[in-house]
Order: sequence, then C-alpha cells, then structure tokens
Amino acid sequence: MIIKLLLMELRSIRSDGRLLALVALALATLILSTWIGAESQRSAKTGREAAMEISRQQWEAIDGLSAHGVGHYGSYVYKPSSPLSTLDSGVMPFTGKVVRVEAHVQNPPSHSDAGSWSSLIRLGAFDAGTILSLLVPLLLAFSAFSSVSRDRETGLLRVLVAQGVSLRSILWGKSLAYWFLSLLLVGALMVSHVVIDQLSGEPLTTDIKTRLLLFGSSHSLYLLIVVLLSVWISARVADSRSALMILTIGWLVTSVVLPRITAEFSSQLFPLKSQVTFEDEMAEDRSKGLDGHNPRDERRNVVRQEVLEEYGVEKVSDLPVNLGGILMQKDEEYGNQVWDVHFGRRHETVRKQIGVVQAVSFLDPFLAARGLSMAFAGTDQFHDAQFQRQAENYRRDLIRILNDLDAKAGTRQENGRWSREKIDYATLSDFEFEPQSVDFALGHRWPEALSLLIWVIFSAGLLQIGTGRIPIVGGSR
Amino acid sequence: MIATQAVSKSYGSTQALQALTLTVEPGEVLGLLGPNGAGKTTTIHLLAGFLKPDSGSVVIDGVDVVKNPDEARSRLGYIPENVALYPFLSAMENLQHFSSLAGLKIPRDEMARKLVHCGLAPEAIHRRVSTFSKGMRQKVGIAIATSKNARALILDEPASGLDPHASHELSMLVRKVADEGAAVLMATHDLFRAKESCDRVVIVQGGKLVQEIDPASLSANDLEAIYLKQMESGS
Repeated sequence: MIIKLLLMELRSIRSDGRLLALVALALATLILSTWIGAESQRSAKTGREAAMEISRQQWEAIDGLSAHGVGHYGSYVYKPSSPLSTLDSGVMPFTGKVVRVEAHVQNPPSHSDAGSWSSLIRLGAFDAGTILSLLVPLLLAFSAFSSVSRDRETGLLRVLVAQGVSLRSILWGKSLAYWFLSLLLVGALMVSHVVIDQLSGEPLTTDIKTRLLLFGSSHSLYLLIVVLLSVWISARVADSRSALMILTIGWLVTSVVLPRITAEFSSQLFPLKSQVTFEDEMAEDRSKGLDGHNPRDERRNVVRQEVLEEYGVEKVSDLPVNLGGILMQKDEEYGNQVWDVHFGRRHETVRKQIGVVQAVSFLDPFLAARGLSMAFAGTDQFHDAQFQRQAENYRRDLIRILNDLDAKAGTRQENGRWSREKIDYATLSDFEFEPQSVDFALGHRWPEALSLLIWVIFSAGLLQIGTGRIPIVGGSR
Repeated sequence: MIATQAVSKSYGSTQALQALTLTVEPGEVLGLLGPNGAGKTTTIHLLAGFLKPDSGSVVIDGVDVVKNPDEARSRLGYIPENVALYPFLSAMENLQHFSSLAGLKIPRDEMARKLVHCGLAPEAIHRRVSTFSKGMRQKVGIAIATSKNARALILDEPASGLDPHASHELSMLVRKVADEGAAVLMATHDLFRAKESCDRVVIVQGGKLVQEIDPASLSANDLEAIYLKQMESGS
C-alpha cells in the first residue's frame, strides 16, 4: 500500500514542473559546490606544496647557523585540507592554515581564508554540507507543505480514505517519496564527490569511504526528519497556507535564529580568552613560573646545579656538554608544560561551548546535522585542535633535536669554550599530519548522532501514532 | 445496512446534527434532501468516518464506524460532490490505482467497460483527467466507488455537474447497485432524481429529520411542494 502511494506521489512530483526544476537546481548547486570545493582544495594543495618546497629549500640552505640559531630561524608547518572538506569546509576557513614553529614560542595558526579577505567574509561558505542542511530542508518544506493539505482541500484525501487507505499509509507514502528525492540529492552528491576525487587522483581510503558514508547518512537522516515533520504539519494544520507559514517559521528558528542564539549563549556561558590574552598569560607563566613563585632565573640556576652534579664538575667550563643547549631544552620543556596547561584550558572551554550546542541539538536537529556534517568531513573544532597539537608536537621534537645538537654536537676546547660541529639540517624531517580516524569524529559527536536518532524516532512516531487528530475533511461540511 | 442512531455533531457553537436517526436497508435507496447547511454533508462525512460524532452511533453493514473505521470503509463506496482524481493520470489509470488501493484486482477490459457503463465516452478512457469536465470526473468517481462492490454506497450530491443524460444514467446505476443488495444513501438537491431513484426520501433541516416521504406515491411536483413547504415552515 505504502509503496503504491509512494510511487503515485513521485509521479505527482514528476508532473509538477516547478518542483522538478527546484530539485534539478538543488542538484546542480550541490554538484557545483563540490566541484568548486575540489578546485579550491586543489589550488590550496598546490599552494601548500609550493610553500612547503620553499620552506624545505630555505631549511636546506641554512649555513653557518648554530642549532640554537636554527631553532630561532624556525620553519613552517602547513595544515593539509581534509579530503572531505570539499563537502563541508566547517570551521576551517576561519582557522589558520600555517604555523610558524620556532624555539621558545608556540605560535598560533595563521593565514586563514577568512583572514585573507576572501568572498567567504561577504557571503559565507558555499559547500554541500551547508546546502544540504540549510537550503535543501527549505526546498523540501516548500515542496511538502501542501502534500496533505492540498489533497484535503481538493477532496482527494477523502477519496483515498474512502477506498480504505489509512491516513498513516498516506502520510508514510508521501514522506518516503519526498525522502526519496532527498536521497537522490545526497546520493548524487556522494557519487559526484567520488568521481571528482578519482579524476583528480585523490586516494579513496577506507576511512574516507566510511566518513563519506556517514556524512551522507547523517544528512539523509536529517532530511528524513524535515520531510516527516513537513508532511505531518501539512496533515495536521487546517490549510496549506498555515502549513507553509509554520514550516517557514520553523526553518527560520531552527536553522537561523536558534543556532546563533546558542552560539552566543555558549560564548557568554564559557567565554574564550582572546589570542592576545592567551599569549600574554602564557608569557607571564613562562617567565614567573606556573605558580607565580618560580621565576625563570631560579629555574635556570637549579638546572645548572643539577647538570654540574650529574657530570661531577664544579665549573661550566669543565662540562663535556654545552650547558646552553641543556638550559634551553629545560626551558622549552617548562614552556611546553605552560602551553599544555593554557591550551588545555582553552580546548576545554571550546569543548564546553560545543557541549552547550550539543545539548541544544536535542531541541534543534539542525545543530546535530551541522555538527555531524563537519565532524565527518573532518573540519570541526576537534579536528582543528588535533592539527594544533600535532604542529606543537612537531615543534617540540624539532626543538629538542636542535637543543640536543646544541648541547652535544661539539667539543670543549682547552680554553673552556664550546666549539660546535657543522650540522646538516637537511636530514631533519618535515611535518607530516596524521589524519584522525572516523572513530575520533564519532567519539566526539555521539550526542549529535543520538539527537538525530531521537528526532527520527520522534518524527516517525508522529506519523505512526499521531494521525488520530488529523482532519480528513477541510472547511466544507 | 446504513444506520445512524441519535447522532449529534456540532462545529464549535454551531449544531450541525441533532440526534439524527436514519436507517437504510440493503437494496434500498434513501434520498437525503435539505437546503444548504441542513447537515447532509455532515451526515455523509460521519458515515464515511471522516468525522467523529459527538454522540450517537454510526454503523455500516453492522460495523461501527467510530470503533472500526477501516473495516467500515472497506464495506463502503463513496462519491463526493466534486470527485478529486490524479490529474496527470488517465481515467483508466485512476480507476486502476484506486481499485488497487482498495485491494481489488480488476482486469483492464472490465475496468474499461465499467467506465463506459458509468457514462464515460470510450475515447476518453485513456485521456488525462486534467482535460476532463467536472461531469466526466464525476463519472470516473462513480466507477471508482462502485467497482468496490460495496455493501453500502453513500453519495454526496453525485449528479452535480452531470448533464441530464449522465444524471439519468447515474440514477439507473444507483438503482442497479441497490437492486444488487447494497444500501444506498444519496444526499441531493435534485428532487426529480430523488423521485427517480429513491425508495424513500427524508428531509433534514437544521440538523434534524423533519419529514419522511414515499416518493413513489407522489408526483415530482407534489414532492417539490412538500419540500418547499418544509423549507418555509423551518425558516
């Protein structure tokens, strides 16, 4: 029965040229956004590779600098784009793509797309994730708002019910037809993404396939919720006009107003310190000690004494190592602790802000869909924080190697001065980003996944058991 | 059998039906006459289970419509005043679809015969109904309702929009359905058709049954006179 009604609804949709045109427009927009995303990703990749090559050449050309000097000379690490960022750019356009790594300082990522005065600032992101979660629901609401109310107004609903068709079957048939359209859009998007990726020679790993599948599934579930609620509202309210008004207001509240209020509320509840304050506090802690009672000079004297004792000598000039290198490494390690504390606090604040959004997602499935979309695309705050951590770990390893070289690659001369060896810095490895597995995304985004499932059950439940108060007859008696 | 027992229904403060009791036996055609707003369509909607009564009971072929609406509808054929169909389908495809929804498997040639029997021109059978006049759509609706071979048939102003010839054919068809054992209730304004096809006629006004008439014992003019007299006394 439901299949027959579904097929008839699809024929009805097919016969409506305006609706078909809207679906075709949405499909074209989705594929276009994927292609644009792939092009920008390709362009970013080319730019990143060129910058990396220049950095490598500069690094290899270093001559006559001590290891400590090289630590100050520094290098750059570049954030690679997530393969699925073509589908949902998430927070990535607003976060830095380049980190300058150097001794003593943990620099924040810089060179964001938004900071480079791209069209992003004026128009916002144009990607499939945004289109699927923002525009396609609106299209579905505009298409389905009269799906039942129109049949009630024309009298078709009465003819169907009189033939023995249950309201539940009618509502499911219509809902599944509109969901089928949504699946067509999501499916076409996924296929186009795979094709574009294959044409550009990008590898399609199991993790990417899983992420792509989950990306499509989460959007499909969200669109199912939109369709079920749209059809139910169309059935429940008195006329098509009221249904359209309710759905439009609903879309506005859930997709525009509530997300912004939630973001603002979470920022007020858990305020994030500015980058300047963050850096000032780190510098202060590094200088004075984390507890404020352990100034840098005192720490240096303690380390100096420990090294002298370790090597059983009384004077620095008798040490078989360069104390400067050891002191700098100890200072680095202390600075690393400071960074861990401050970055940890900052990350915790962001996590709490996201927690607020995740809690509100149980009221607003749009927030759940957005969170999952970004997470499966590998472009949310959690994934971005991983880049910052990996960049910092690379910096620590690099500076430790350089400080070790500064401490040990050389000999103590008779006059007590330390003579450094010439070092081939080209042997030091480049930064390699280790992408997070899909488990990482799921581990952080399970509340949104749960919210989406609860919403699916709720909206399906409305159709399944909430048909009792649906009017079959319109205004006429 | 079609039966309502002391059925009342109101819309807000407006009382549409007041303790209306009707019975239509198998093989009988009952005409429901009354002015606009008398409660005819409300009665039809209650019988089809589209509305729930405030009080009283509604029974189709022994099945309580409120308690078992799906079962009651399976025994019911319904023809509205304006038959709504899928405009992008042909008459044949509409009949095919609605019949299959009712769980019927009717061969195509039999469906074609049914449509012609209901007054549709053979050349119109495969035409999209979006090109049909109201009367043509009405004929397809009659074919859909009667193809169920239901134990009860309810018609809400079925002749509305039909030409005199088609209207006469409808009267004959209704009579045939009743003769085959179905109980038929027909709400109408058309006194002439009521006399032509009904075994009994009841006049409702203000949601109440005001008079029951045996049309066979009266001429059409007498029936009209009685009807108008009731309307005047009620207004």
